[in-house]
Amino acid sequence: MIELSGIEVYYGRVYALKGIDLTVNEGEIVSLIGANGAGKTTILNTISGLLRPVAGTIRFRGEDISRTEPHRILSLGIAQVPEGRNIFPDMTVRENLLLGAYQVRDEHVIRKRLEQAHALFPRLAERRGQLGGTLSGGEQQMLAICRGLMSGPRLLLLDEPSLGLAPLIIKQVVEAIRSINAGGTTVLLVEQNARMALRISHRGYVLETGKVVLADTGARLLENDQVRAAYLGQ
Amino acid sequence: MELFVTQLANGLVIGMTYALVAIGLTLIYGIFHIINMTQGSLYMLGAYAAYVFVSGAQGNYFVAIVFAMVAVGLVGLLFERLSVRPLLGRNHLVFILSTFGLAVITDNLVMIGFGPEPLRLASPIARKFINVQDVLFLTQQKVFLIVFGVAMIVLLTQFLKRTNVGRGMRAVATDQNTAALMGINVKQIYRVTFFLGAAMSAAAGALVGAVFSIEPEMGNLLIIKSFAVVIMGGMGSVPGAFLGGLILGVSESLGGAYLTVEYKDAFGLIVMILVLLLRPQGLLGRRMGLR
Repeated sequence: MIELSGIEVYYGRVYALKGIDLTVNEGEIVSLIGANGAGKTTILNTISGLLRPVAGTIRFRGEDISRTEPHRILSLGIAQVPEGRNIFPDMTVRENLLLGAYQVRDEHVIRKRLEQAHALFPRLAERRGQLGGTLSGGEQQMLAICRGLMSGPRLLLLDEPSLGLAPLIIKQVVEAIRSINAGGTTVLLVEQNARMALRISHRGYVLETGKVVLADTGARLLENDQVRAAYLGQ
Repeated sequence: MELFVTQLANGLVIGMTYALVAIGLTLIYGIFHIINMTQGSLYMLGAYAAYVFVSGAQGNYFVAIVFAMVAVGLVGLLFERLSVRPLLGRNHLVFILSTFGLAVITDNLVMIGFGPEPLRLASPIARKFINVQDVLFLTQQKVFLIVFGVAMIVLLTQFLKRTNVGRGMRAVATDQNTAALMGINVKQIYRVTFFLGAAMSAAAGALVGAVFSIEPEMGNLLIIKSFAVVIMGGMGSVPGAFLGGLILGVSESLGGAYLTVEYKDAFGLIVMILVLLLRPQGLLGRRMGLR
């Protein structure tokens, strides 16, 4: 579905991605794990068009999108749930969700997706009139995920969805990611919580300082000695 | 009593003019953190566009206001293209210089085209009076200016609150990158914002131009005062610009009537300083963003 080959990106003056090759196939959950600064978020922001690669190509369903503007990339079917949620704090839950559907013109589609969002996280239905800034961290993450789904993406990029959340909430978020994927949306997941990420992923990539150092199925990476030592604390 | 009411009404007329120009300024500042110094020239262009439509093309004055808003709105797009787009990503102070330079060029081009002497923008209601209880005599033009201005501001705030593009503008004001991830075309938001800001200023010019007279430099002092209004109301706050404009206009008008007319222009600025001493973030301001 999406294929990055030889992607090199500078983040300011920092040589952040040093030739990334990775593929996500339709229907998969693929996770990127690695330490802070390994380049995980940079990969997602490059796919979304917020950063321009200096070399390499990104093919999404056959089309080269490496120099495409962010709003066009979204309209092709790639949505991102950014790190730190980035909820619009002065807007209500409903307004945040409607922003996710910014390019959707059909009122029926918008209404249907709002219902789906409320079904995925009933908490959001209760809080629909509340300002985004007044939500708890877990609720903000739920809102950010649903906002990302409002455009009806084929590929959902999730950046650190478990960051700073209580274990019980993480469980809910994991369930949601599974059900989103079961519904036919391909997922590219960036996580520091490697164990959680690899458990739900079909495949995973391990990143170190801007390079892919390991690529395998989620199950095999969980068994890998290097991964266990570096990322699973065993 | 008569004097007070009359000066209050005149203050509201001037204040509405400040408010309309200031709203354009505060909108552009609130969303992009750019101070658009062409706002005064756009106000002047609005008056001249209406003048050309009425005197040159023998058009109806009320249609001329709409014509001025649209035509000058398009000029606003051109100004954005010339003085903002090529400099995006630079220090925000750069835009003060680039837009100020463009304002000077614009004012001088109009002076070459129309001459420096004041012109009269004819309105059919400029000489018709409304008598309120024998206390207040106002021209219909002034009443119309206030009503039209309030209508514009209500429309704008509803646009920001309820429409998809309005939501997009607020989102870009808060966080450009996340807004782009929502599929918002940030460049399009630039265009919409500069168009709206220019159209609001143009409306002010076309309205007040028929109260007084029009001249190429009519926007010079106005941009400074509108800037004071924006600071007083709270940078980026549309209701703040409205409130600040009215306060500035009324305090100038009453100060000019009861204290001394020579220092009329100073009263407004004194009020601004007083407001900032009490509320450094402005009347309705917070730290960032657009409201």
